[in-house]
Amino acid sequence: MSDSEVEFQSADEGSNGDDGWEIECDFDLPDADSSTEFKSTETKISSQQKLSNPVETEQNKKCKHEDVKPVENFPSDTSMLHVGLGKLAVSSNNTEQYEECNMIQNEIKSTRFLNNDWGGWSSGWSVNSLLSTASALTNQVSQGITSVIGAPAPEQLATVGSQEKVETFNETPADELPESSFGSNYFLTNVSQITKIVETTGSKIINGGLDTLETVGKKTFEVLQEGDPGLLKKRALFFQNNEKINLSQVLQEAKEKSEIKSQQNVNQVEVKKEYAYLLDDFQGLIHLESLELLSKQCQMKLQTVLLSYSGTQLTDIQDTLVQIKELCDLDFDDDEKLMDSEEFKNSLITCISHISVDVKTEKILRVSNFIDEKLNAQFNNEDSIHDEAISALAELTAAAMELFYKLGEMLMIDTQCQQIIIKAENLSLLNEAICCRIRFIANKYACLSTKFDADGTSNNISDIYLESSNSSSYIQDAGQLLIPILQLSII
Amino acid sequence: MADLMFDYQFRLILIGDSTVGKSSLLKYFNDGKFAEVSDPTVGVDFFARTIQLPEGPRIKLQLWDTAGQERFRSITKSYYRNSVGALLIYDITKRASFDHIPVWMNDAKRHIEPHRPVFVLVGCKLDLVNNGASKREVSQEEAKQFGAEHNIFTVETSAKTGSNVELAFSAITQEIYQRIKSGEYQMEEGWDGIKSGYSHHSANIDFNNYIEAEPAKSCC
Repeated sequence: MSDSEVEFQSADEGSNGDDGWEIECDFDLPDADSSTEFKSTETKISSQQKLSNPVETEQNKKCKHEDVKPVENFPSDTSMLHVGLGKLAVSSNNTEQYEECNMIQNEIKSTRFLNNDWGGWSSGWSVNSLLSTASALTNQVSQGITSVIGAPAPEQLATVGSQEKVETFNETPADELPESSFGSNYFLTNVSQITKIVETTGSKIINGGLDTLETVGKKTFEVLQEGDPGLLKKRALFFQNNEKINLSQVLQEAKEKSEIKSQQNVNQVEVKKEYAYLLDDFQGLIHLESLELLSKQCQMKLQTVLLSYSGTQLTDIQDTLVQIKELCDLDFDDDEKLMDSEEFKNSLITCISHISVDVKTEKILRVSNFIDEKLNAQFNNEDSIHDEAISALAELTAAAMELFYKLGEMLMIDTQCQQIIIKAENLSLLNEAICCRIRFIANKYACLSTKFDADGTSNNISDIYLESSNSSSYIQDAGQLLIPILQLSII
Repeated sequence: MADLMFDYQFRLILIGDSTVGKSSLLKYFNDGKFAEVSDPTVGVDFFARTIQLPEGPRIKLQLWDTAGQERFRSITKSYYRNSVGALLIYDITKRASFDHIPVWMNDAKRHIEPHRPVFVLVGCKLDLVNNGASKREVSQEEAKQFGAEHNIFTVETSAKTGSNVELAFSAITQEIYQRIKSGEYQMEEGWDGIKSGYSHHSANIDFNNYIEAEPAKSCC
């Protein structure tokens, strides 16, 4: 009876190969212990099975002999086996099961030795065994899941399924035995028997399988949702791992926070304007957001285009893309370099003229000059210097965002791809120039602050430097967003 | 500080042929000034203004001024999706710009899907016709008929005199607000067409509770 063996084997494979085990363990379920117990059961069964493998092959060889001899004690042997099988299928996975498995295994062996002559059988049974294997697998899996998840599960299903199967076993061989000796007649009835078995077992497998899957799905979702309604935490976790949060989102949140604060402070005489709020007010956020949109779009297009290349062509293109990226990522030698408005203007105009002539530099230059004017004005107190400084940094950063956004737009529709290297270099230089200008402004305001010797002076100064470094990193990040746009233009 | 206090934020997009006066219209709406000389728009420009509806809510309009030139079409299309309304702009002294309106409208409809945008049809350069400097090529009746066919509001404006400029923007805002009240529009995660403003946050929470309470009632 090779089918019972296959049953063991497949159940073993099924549970070991099942990814579900690991997932369940990760969630730290109370019944996690039982899963390991179950595993050990399977290993024992599989070791037993190794022993019986040679026997199986021996039997197969003998099956080739055509002489079919009815054996006297066959019916009693088979019925014994069925009882054993029934036990196995119904029993849950406690330790007693090993012994039962042992017993049954021995019975199977002995039956086989006695009946090694019923050749015609094996052909009919191989189909049946496949089907019963599959249904047994379903039962085993659902049992396993029940025990692991600890749910009141399709126990009924499992037991009913296996009992019915045992019944089919009981009926079919007993009916068929006498006929099997009549040769051709036997063959026809056997075929119809097989079709029946295929039908009934097939539908059982499908039903059982669907039920099991449904239970698995429901249970998994319940467990996942435990203490986490709407899966919010888990979603947040995945989001954190898989996706970089957009810079504009971060800034948006910061802005909202500062809005809350200023609303709370609305009754106070002096409302401290915060950097993120000011940046939005100067339209920095919206331009950054738009640039992100364009950048994402280009990134997606780039991926699609790359898919159409292969071999050396692909590596060539990838090399060029990397080269462009490296050019845009130029390290600045001098972190302390400063630029007054005149230097800034010259540097900016040179850079822009190399990237795109259509982009207007008036706005950022006007902002830069205006800041210079304000720096020369007289300040009454130290707090107003601080507020002016934060406002100036936010305004220049916002203007830079707009400039980068406009550059992005122009690069997208630009058709001159020959000067891509020059463009990348100048983009990097432009980035540096703006950061130098930011540093210059922060330094100036900090110097002005030191002339006053108020309580909050050192706090204010470090605040100015903090926002200056924030500005620089926003500008650099915005510059990075131009890379995919630039890369796309060479393809 | 005034900008802080708004109930909703709507994103609107201005579309239409090149040189019909989209940027001038927006400039007047934004600054109350007319620019005698105006450079062609590069890509998409951005403006924001908060307006107060007669019923009370303050609404921040984020306005996207798109370039009419064909070469910018691939860029301007990206901005359709996150808009809740579109101002279809034509030049009443230029027939072709009116004839292209259905194309612009279908473009917007297709890209704003699955959301159903609010449209208004805005004719520009009314002052040129009124002072006799140019000949009218699109009659008021034609525009009205188009508006009736598609069930959209129509208006003729002048960015130089400022006539009807305010009306064009408040009409579209009013219609969007009506659709929010009727429940047709809702704020959605990942769609920037409509956002609730800062002062609206507490009301928004009530709205969510209301949704959740609904099925419970039907159970009893």
